[in-house]
Amino acid sequence: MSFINNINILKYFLIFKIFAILILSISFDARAEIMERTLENGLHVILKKDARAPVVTSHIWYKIGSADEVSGKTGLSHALEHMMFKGTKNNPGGVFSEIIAKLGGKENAFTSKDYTAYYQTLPSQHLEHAIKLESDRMSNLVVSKEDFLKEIEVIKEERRLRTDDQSEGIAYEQLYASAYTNSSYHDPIIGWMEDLNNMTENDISDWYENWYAPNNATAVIVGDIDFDKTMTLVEKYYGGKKAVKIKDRINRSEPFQFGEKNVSIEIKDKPTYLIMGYKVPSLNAKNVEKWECYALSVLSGILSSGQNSRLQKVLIREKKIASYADSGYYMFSRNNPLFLIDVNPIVGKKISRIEVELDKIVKELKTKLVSQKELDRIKAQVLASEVYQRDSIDYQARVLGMVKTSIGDTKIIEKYTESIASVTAKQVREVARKYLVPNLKTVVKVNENIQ
Amino acid sequence: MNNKIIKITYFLIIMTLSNLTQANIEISQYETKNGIKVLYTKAQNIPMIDIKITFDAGSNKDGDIKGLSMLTHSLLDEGTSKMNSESIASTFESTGAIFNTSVNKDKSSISLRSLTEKKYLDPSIKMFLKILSDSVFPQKEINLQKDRTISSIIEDQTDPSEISMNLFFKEIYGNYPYAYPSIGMKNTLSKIKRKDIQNFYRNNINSRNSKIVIVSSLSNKEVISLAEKISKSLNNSELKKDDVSSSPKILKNSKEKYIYKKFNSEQAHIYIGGLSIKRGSKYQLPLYVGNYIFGGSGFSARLMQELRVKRGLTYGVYSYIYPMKDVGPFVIGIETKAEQAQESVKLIHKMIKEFHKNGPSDKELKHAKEAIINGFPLRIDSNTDILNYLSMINYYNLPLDYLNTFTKKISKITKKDILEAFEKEVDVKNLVTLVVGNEKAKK
Repeated sequence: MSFINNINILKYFLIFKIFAILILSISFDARAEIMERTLENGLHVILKKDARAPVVTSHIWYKIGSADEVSGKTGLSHALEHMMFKGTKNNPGGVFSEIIAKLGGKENAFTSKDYTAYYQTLPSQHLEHAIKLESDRMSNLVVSKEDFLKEIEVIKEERRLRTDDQSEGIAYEQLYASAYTNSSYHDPIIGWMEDLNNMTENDISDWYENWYAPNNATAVIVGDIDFDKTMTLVEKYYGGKKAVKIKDRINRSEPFQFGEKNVSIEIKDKPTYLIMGYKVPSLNAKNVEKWECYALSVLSGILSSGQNSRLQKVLIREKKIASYADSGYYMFSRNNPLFLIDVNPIVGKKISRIEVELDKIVKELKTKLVSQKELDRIKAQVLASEVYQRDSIDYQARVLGMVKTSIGDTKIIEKYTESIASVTAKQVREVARKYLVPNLKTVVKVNENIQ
Repeated sequence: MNNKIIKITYFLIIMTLSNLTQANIEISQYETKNGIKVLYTKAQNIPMIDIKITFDAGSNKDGDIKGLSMLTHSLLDEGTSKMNSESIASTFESTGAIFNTSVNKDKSSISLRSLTEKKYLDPSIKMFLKILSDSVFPQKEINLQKDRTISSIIEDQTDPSEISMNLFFKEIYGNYPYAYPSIGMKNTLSKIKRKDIQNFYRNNINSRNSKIVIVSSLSNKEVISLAEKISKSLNNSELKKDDVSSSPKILKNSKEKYIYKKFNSEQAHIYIGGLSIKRGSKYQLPLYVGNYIFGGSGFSARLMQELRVKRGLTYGVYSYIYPMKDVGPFVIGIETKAEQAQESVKLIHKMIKEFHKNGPSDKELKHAKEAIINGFPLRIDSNTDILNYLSMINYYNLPLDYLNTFTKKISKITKKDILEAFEKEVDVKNLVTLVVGNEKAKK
């Protein structure tokens, strides 16, 4: 919601560019510091103690995102997130934000394909204010036509800023739209401009009524807190809310892909760029062994983590044809995600040369085992990131919220480091052989024929 | 330790308005044998260390070779006399350590984050010290880094937000070093020679213009020994004096200016502003509070309320006043679809003139002071935040109790102070307005 934090929407800058780090750093220390409970109305509550500073972050995560939307109605989850800042019967207009600011807090919200989350970070003695205001917003939102008509224009400006005027934003959007035929990951989180033009305040109210309920939410509170007192506060403000019947989610399974998809787009006055994705499993995938996900994560590290990773070594240092190259894989998504690779060629270098090198890199992963040295490097980085990420209470809350909402069980967080550590060179080769194949692959090239 | 060593311990206690919160950070101060000021604090809960060395070596030291400071910093870990780029990277990667440099217009920094377990810490520190004392800048790496940098500069020229920001700073600073982006320009970068980089390294990555900050779980003794090792690794030769006589001066704008540049984008990118104050100006805090209310506090700010919440004109609008070593800028920025550019410009001009004349309301001022003062615990709630906070205190020679006095001073600021500061240091009669966008954005 806020401009300054810029984390409103997408995953694509948030997760995309810093993907490797994010993925490698999901892990936790002692379980004893965490308390989890589900209230009678279905609200799941996760508390984590970190008393380094007298500060707390309070999150609420709803299991509703663009993956639950249908054609013609894209962008609803994100638009609702914006409207959640327009006030309730008890706290009209900007009262919520005003109170949090006066208490010295900061607040924001973000929407992804899988979830919508809201948070406040503030001095810990004011936690009750945050819980009280957030719980009010779960059931008493006022959606007026007047507010909606202004806010939808703000959202269109957001779309122009992040997508329509950004060639990488357009390419990212086109990649998902091209790769997925039926899966709802086909559509952008912010929605197509055409759908934003047709959206009404009634669509927003319906979406809110359908999905915002205690039994479709997780509260995550991390910081300088006392478990019992905090649980009492959560029960006081959320306990009285009634569970509602959550609609069955539409299952938009992805059909077989008949071969590699190649998309060439032209965007005037913009540099060349390549982004590709392979359809791979998430931890939720049925009939897939979990180790495959961890092996894919290590594979991504081999490709792009650090200067000695394959993409950087070959494309940037040896061939000198790219100024930037990255890969990313996010195993904690609700549906099967894309394993991403993106490259900014050095200005004047042809995309076709990048493709030739990428093919060689992929082929090598399928034929030769990665070295022990490479595996050790990834594992050392996972261990270090596990320690470094404890520095941010907000980050800790995000990991808990994401994993609970999309996967359902936070226990996998504890085992993350161990699971990564047990990945073998053979497993890395096996997932490369199984998933880095033409009929799971889609490539989007920007301005490949323009010099 | 000899008598040259000063060690002061100061407990930083933050009291919010409601007097309920206390955050204690024990800051220790130490001076190395060759005179570098070190601030450090112990953060026991996480077995990690953050080191940040700050230098008076920002892009304002580039001279005519724009981009020299940033290029030099980016090449620091690309080769020592015994190790090549690949093995340096391997050393850090296999310990999980993160080496980083950053450059802005006034200063630069070199930092390291590492685990404190000995088997990880020792090799990463050894590598870090080697980079400080023995970076050799191989020609091969210089060429590679130059090509990548030039490529990204060319890419930036297709991005309306980069184009508009660079044009705006060029307009308000003329030929002063602040006019140029720290990354440099295509024509200056292509001319940089190995000799230039070596000279910059020798003259500027120097113990005499450096400050050290360390936040870690290590003991005081270990931190002091580490600080001494760092100080000994840095070049300690006499600093070259800046040639002041030939350097350009900053000239304040003396008439209202409007500039339009055509660019093929849906949104227009707009900057409005001019010059304001140096760091340390007596108007710094009143301007901070005034700007916080006008455009510096996200949703509560007047600009966001008026242009986004009330009118739906934009996703983001903001203002900032950034005091620098020399005169820093006052900037208002907004993106909006081209058709709405002129409406937005008019509205912002009207709003800044009105604020300049009448200042904030009593309610706005009270609210802003509460938010700033109560928000202090959030500014030092992680090792990263504490590191940056100590680094600021150390670099600008602020007193160790800066934060406590800061809140006191904020609480005393009046509407009259803000009006006076804006009258003196925000020239609303001679604003520079820049619009970059398609033809519909034009006046």
